[in-house]
Amino acid sequence: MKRISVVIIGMGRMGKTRYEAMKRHGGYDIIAVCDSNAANLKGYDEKIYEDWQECIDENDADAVIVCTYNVMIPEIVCYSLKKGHAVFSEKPPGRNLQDTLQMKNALDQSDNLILKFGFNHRYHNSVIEAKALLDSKILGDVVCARGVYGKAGSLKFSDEWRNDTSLSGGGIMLDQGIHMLDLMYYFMGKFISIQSSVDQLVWKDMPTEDSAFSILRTEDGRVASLHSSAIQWRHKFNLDLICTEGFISLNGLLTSSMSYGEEKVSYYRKDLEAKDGKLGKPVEHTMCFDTDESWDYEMIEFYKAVAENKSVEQGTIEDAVNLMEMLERIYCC
Amino acid sequence: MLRAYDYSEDSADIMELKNERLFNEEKMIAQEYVIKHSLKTESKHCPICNSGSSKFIFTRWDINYQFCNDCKSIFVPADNETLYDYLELDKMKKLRLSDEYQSEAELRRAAIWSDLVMWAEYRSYRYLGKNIDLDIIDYGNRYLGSINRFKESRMCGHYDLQKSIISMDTVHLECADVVLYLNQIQHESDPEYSLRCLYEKVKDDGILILNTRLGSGFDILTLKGGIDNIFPYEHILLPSKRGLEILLNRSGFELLEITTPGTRDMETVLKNKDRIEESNFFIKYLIDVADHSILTNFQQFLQKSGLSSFAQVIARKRKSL
Repeated sequence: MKRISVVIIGMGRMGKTRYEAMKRHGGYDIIAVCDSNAANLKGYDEKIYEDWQECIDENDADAVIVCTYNVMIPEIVCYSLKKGHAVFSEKPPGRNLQDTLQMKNALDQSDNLILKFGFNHRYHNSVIEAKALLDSKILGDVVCARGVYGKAGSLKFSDEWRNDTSLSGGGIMLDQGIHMLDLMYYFMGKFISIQSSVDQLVWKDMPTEDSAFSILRTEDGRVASLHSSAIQWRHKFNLDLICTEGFISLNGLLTSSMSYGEEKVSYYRKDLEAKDGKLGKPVEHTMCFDTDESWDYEMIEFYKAVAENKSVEQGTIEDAVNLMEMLERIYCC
Repeated sequence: MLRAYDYSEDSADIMELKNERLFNEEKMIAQEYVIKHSLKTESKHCPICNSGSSKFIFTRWDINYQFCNDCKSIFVPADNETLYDYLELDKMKKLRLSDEYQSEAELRRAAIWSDLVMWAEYRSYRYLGKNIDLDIIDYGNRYLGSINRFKESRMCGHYDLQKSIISMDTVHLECADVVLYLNQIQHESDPEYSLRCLYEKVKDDGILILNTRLGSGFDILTLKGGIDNIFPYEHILLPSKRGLEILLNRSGFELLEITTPGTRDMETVLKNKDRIEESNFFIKYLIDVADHSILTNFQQFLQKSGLSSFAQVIARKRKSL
């Protein structure tokens, strides 16, 4: 197995998650880890750095893994690309569209380098199954979607870096809602018409939103509604996809906190002739999953792109630009 | 392997899968044969995992069913010759090929077959990345309705019906994208050999779709010999979920998924509740006090937990045996 060398910039929760996924993969040589907070670097055998630029310069790694605050992402990504490294970066792709376009520009100027953003929800088993169902055309075409992704905030939610706009660029919609927006975009394509209400309904002492409702419409008239919430109080993930010939529902999500409930995908075919027995109650199938391999699948794809010259399929710069364009319009509304 | 639990909710009142009179006729033909043709083997080795450790679990028509202590499958130590003659019984074939038998099956199983084809289309797409114009080998299928649904489905490009009591002009395929092995393993005395033969029929990037009654299911382990729809030599092998995993692995397959979406355990136990052993206090109590809603939830629990008595399996060839 060809091995690729990497450095990880940012060893907070996401850096550790990526570190473990790469260790499990076996094809990555993690040669250095970096964090501005020295406490995050304890216990690692790799070379450690507190300065990201030094870390990149002193190690001629094949790839740089960026797991920092949003504000740092564009600078580190652009620098790494200029230095000729492949880059995997956490989402969101910067704080705003301008950040993302800056990275696109750096990528365009590079010599066919690889840039992939981490949208791990696409690799959840329920999402993989839903995508296969849609692409198989068994249930026809998706015409509308309803998505809710909500969490409870925390005791000191206002003080979290995620709600410091200078570091994050936005609130719950940018931090968590972006995953739901990405899934809707993945299943339905780009939304060109967007209406939204972005509010501070409970957490009024912070600069970011705690709730965002959006109605989104694609060019061919398909509609989605999205609610991203930090005031859900009990964590919730639900995405319903209504198709011309049936229905798919994703409920729950396996995460490290195990607080979003069992991950399931249910589906049924419409049955207007009531062949299954009762009108309006067709037989529903449900698949439940008890493992989350999304981090592993994501690092497998990145490995293949770097080591085997395969193209990046998920989390491309085009995905990132499209998502940030839509997000900007959600915030502008 | 995808770790998933597949369950479904039946919205309609469950119709018996078989016409009672025809089913009794089938059983009578089988019983007549079984009484006249005893088995010619004394081996107690589990044909699934090869373990020599098993114990008697129940008797049907003087035929002893064994329970494997290792893989928990249920089996009858059977010889090929006796089994072959059973499967070739003219009287049984004639009954099963009759218009009445086939039309009753169509009436009772239409929804199940439609659902099965949809599921096969879905899973083919999931693992092959395509579900249109595939080469299909259907091995041993004896229901015209099921055969026609697969043949006429959009997933079917070329269809080859093999080892069936139904005569049909189909193309001959050496190997296929999808090999269907539906409710066949139950009457195999050497399942590993049969699966190795099927291995040769699956294209390198194709899949095997297998379904079977399970010996580790709730109804059979509750009713044991009191179950009315298990009989020799029609059912001489009832693998457990674990047994299926072992068997497929030994036969060169990589298991992609195994789910137990069976919906009929509670119905079967309810129907035969007088045959539940007196010592089985909990189940007898459950049957006495539970209403329809509780029993439905219990069945879903069985499906989700790998404990129903029907399994659907998808496997592909390992790169090398």
